[in-house]
Amino acid sequence: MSVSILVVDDEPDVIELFRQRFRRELRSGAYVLHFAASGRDALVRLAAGVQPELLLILSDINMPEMDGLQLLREIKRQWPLLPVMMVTAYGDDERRCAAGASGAADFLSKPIDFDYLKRRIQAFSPAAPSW
Amino acid sequence: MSSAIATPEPAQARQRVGLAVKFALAFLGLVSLVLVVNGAVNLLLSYDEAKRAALTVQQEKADAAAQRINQFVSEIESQIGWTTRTEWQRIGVEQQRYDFIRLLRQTPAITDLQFLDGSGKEQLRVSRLEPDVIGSLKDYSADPPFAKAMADHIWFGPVYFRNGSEPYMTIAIAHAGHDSGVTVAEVNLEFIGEVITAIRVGGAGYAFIVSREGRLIAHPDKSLVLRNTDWSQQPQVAPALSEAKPDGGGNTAAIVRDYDGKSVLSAYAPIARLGWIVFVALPASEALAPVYRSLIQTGALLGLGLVLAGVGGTLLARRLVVPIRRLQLGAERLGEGDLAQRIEIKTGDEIETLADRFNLMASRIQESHETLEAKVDGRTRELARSLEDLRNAQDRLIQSEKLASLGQLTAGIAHEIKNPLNFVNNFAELSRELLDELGEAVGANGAGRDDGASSEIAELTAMIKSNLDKVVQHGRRADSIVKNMLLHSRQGGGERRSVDLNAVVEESLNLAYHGARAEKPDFNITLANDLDPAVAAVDIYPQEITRVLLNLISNGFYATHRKKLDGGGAAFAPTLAVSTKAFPDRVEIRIRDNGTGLSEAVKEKMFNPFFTTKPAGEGTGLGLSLSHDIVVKQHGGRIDVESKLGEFTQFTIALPRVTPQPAVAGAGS
Amino acid sequence: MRRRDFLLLGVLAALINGGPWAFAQAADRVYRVGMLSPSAGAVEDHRAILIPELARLGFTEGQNLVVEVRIGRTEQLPLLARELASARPELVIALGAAAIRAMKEEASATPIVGAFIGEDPIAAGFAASLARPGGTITGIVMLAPELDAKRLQLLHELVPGGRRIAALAVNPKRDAPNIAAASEAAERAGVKLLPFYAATQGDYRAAFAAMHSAGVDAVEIISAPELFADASMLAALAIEARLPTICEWGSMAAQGCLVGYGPDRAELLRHVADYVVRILRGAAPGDIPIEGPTRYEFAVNLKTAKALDLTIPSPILARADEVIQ
Repeated sequence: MSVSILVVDDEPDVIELFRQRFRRELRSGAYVLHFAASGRDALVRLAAGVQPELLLILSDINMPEMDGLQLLREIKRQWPLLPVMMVTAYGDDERRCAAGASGAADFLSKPIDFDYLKRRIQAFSPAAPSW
Repeated sequence: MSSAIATPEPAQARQRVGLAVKFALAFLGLVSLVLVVNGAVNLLLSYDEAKRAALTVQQEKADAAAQRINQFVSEIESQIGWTTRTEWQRIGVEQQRYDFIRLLRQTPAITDLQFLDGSGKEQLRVSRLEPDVIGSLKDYSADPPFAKAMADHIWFGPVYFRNGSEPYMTIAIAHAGHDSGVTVAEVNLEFIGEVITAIRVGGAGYAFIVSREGRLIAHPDKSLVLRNTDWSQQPQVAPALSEAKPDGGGNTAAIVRDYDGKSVLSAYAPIARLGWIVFVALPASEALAPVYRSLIQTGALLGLGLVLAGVGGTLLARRLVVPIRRLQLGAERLGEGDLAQRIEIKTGDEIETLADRFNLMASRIQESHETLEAKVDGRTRELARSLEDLRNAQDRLIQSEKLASLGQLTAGIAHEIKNPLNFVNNFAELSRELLDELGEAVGANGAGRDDGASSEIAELTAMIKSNLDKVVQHGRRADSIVKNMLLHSRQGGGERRSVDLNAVVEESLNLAYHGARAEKPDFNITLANDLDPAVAAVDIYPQEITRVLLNLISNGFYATHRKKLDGGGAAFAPTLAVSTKAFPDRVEIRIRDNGTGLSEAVKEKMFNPFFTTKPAGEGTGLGLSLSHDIVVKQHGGRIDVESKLGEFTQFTIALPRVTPQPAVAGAGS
Repeated sequence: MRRRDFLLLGVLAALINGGPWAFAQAADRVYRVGMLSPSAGAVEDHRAILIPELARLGFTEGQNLVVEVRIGRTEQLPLLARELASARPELVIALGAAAIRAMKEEASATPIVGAFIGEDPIAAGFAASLARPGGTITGIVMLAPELDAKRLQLLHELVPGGRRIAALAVNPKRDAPNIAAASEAAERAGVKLLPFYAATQGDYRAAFAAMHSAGVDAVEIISAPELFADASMLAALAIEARLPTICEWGSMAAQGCLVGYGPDRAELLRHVADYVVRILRGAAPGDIPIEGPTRYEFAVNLKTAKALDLTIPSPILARADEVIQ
């Protein structure tokens, strides 16, 4: 089963970054990455159904229009079982707590520690091959 | 009414004098009026009375004098009368002579005695000076003594002068019976003169006698008599001659001028049967002396009374007014603010009561004033403290805000930079990785190819890798800077709350230590802590204090590390000691390291923002400046540094223990 | 303020009460008074009354009064008068007309108080009138001749049977009026008057001897100061000669005269003092009237009567103011 992850970030270069970071996994087809540029876009995609089935969502917090926490709450409202990890440059406790309170599965600060991320993803999907 | 509130001083002064003077004058005036009226009336009455009395007395004296004279003459008359009894003419000449001699002896005033028989012939003559003659039978029938005596029984002859100097008078008395004869006596009026002289009229008064015609008969000054003076025209005498009632009566006293021209009070009384008028004269001054005396007396009494009234009035006025004035003064002073003013009045009347009430009021005012003052003082002090606190709080707030805004700014900047940096790093790393893969791919493809192209590719690949390494390196450096900045400007946004300071210190120490070790695994330092249990709970911003402590401790770590690297050598044992100490009003935290120490120049500038001794890229220079602001401005404490270059550095943070909470009714400190 | 009131009151009280209005006479001056007399005894007698009376009137001998006395016989009087005049007295008391005359001659300006003027002052030229003498002479006039006449009559009554009566005088010239008056009275009484003169004391005995030999029945001691002075002597001689006497002054009876009849001497002398004082106080002697006696004394000495074995007739006794037992 492929690990399906939705990455929500308003920064376009994030896409390239993730694609390069997960090039091997992508090449092998172990991971499938989806990208949304805004919270709204993400919700639309989710509502439309993402295939393969999402394992988790990675969302930035600082986004224009709908910020990550709002998105988190929304996702949790509609799809409570879908884990959402928050990624942000702001690593303050306040956001951390808020994210935790809203049901975030984890809280990562930028620059993303991809090793840690891979491990955390693995934790969510034991079936995912460990590289 | 406004005038009562703001009474000008001069008016008051006028009033003050006025009351006393008014009263004194009123009193004086009243008494004076009474005295004057009384005195005047008295005076008038007494003058009138005295005058009347004087006149009456004078008249009485005149009457008395006349009476005396009359008495004198009557005496002589009665003596002579002895020889006029019936049958006397028959007693025989010897007996008659004897009788006459005896009469002479008894009546010194008589000088000569004559017995004229019924036909007027002298039968007997007995004399003191002349020889006695018996039976001369000289005919005296035609003479007035005989004729008048026979007619009127008794005749008083006019005054005549013997030898020109001796006043005499003839008294002729007819004998009892019909045609019995007459005894004629020559009377020496010298004796009357003696009586007249003897009459005392006051001190300097005198009496005199004039005949009906106004001739002086008797006078203390005999020479006047002897000159046979006619006084009928004298102002003293004339009225008497014209108006004298034949038998006296009424008051004849009047003030006239006597023969000397002196003013005398003169009265007279007639002796009708003698045809004489007796005058008594008293010098007017003497007569009126009692009047003048009473005048002076009354005047003196009046004067005395006035003086006494004046004195009494003044005294009374003062007695009354002084307490009132005191009241006034006391009220004034009280009004001006002298609350200790008390009025001392012991007059035993309403004024005293008033004064007592006043004093009571004054003490109450004083009490409440003092209380008020104390309260005001207290409040002022509280307010001052509150103000102080408020200001401090304001400062701290401002500081916090500044910090916050600064923090926000830097945080904002940091965050903004972080993202691009992120990409820089990531893509640089990725690129490096891709290069590796490229190398592998090339190697796999051209394994064994031993041409120049492989080595050039390899060289180029190596250069690109090296470049990318540098990019990553600098990227990491930039990232580190940003992190530092974020670390320093992170706003905890915490509240000031009571935390166990020792716990915070310990935590900070641990954090720092582990953090330092995580960064540089070869970092090692000996830690010591000496935490005073009495420190207990202190009101602080825990996150900020933690930051401060972290800052200082990490500075300490840096310093010791430097020293070790620079030349401390293996023997050098880096140590950092943290201690806390509790004081009644504050707690102190000491951080001491035995690192490189600080020079004076550094000490001066170390708290300046952006000042750092660290090489470029290692420190932002904001740490100490921020720490200073947190400690001093946010907490109201102190931060001090001691250092010896090359030996040690010690930071002492003093945090005030209790911060007065603003806007609450607080006790003092 | 109060003390002043009291002071004022005190002063007023003093004024009211009269105060010291009676000031002493001007006692600073010493008044000089002269006395001129033919008889020492007379002077003594005068002084006995005069001096106390003068003192009573404010002139005390030894304090403010000095009395210069000169005594001498009639002939010596002028010289003595001159002496007195040189002492500059305020006035001179002259005893008797001779003294007056002498004084008048020597010091015409000095006031003279006659004590007593024995003759008619107007006739003597001493005064213009009795009421106002007008000159420097005033005093008490005693019309002695008149009294001498009366005395003669009285003496005659004393000795009704007497035919001859002696009159003892001193100086025939001086005493001539007295003798004349007495003679006339004697004539009227029907008796004869025989004058005798005794110029000095030494002549008394001879006079009485002469009287005795003349066979007189009584003696009238004529009015003369010398005879007054020697009354007791004369009285004794008279008793010795068994002669009733009548003398000039009542006091002489006390000294032995059978009868003394004359003016009240004491009263007269007090009057003289009054004259003196008036002149000393500044009155002009010419303004002070000359006065005569007012009161008379009649004294009878019963002892002398007994010695003379004489019964005083009742009319005489009736006259007596004083009877000496």
